[in-house]
Amino acid sequence: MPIHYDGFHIDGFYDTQPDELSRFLDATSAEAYEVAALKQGEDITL
Amino acid sequence: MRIRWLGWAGVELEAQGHSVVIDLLGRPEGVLEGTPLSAPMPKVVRPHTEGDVIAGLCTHLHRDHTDAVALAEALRPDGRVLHPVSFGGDDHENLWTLKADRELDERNLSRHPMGLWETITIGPFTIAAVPAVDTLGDPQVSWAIEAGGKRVLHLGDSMFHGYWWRAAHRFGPFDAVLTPINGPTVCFPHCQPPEPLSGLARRRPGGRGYAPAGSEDRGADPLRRIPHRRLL
Repeated sequence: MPIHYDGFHIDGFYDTQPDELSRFLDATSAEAYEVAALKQGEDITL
Repeated sequence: MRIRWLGWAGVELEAQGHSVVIDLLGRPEGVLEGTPLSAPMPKVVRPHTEGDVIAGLCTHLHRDHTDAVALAEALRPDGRVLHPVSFGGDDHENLWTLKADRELDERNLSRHPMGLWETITIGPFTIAAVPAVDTLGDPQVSWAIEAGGKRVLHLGDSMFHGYWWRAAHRFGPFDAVLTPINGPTVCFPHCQPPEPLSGLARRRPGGRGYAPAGSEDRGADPLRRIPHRRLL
């Protein structure tokens, strides 16, 4: 599938996934990635 | 895949009964030993699988990301150390990597310099060297690692650069990205002037550089005249 870019906005950024259309994410309402702030020695399992 | 943060940039990955460590730092006080510099030292912990680690990955050969003593204690006898290939150059260029480089040799660790985009499989881990850049310009990679259908990306000391698109296309999407969160002010005392771009410009006396068209100013620092948008 060809990659398409649907414009550029200076106040946002793109989320690009392989084989998917790139998506514009507004800087103030972007999808939230889960952030894990671990302590030394702490672990997580994917 | 189990991910354990060991402090500073150190991480331990476990999958299918094997483990690798990334940017392992065992003794922070060793980072600035032999230099006139001082700084608060981070808290670190040892890997759970110490002595049985199959590979030690170093994003770059700065001493806080490459601790040969800690790697020697962590790796099993046939364990390997992966790190970026050298750019070559003299000791002046490589001043910030000489210490870690020498210590790896002193410990007789098995070293595997990785070229950009090179991929290797060790145990259950498929490991790729992704181009990366930090503020000091020494060879650096980010490590893209897959095991058991999960992928992670360790960014070392990466600053923003333009390789993300290609990295995402080749190796993404990632289940977790391990990233620095601070933006330090650094010094590189043996390199002057402290602003490298102005140093670069002074080696081109009289050149127009990227001065705006029509400018008659041919001073000694043409990069100062670059419109900001042209620097992007």
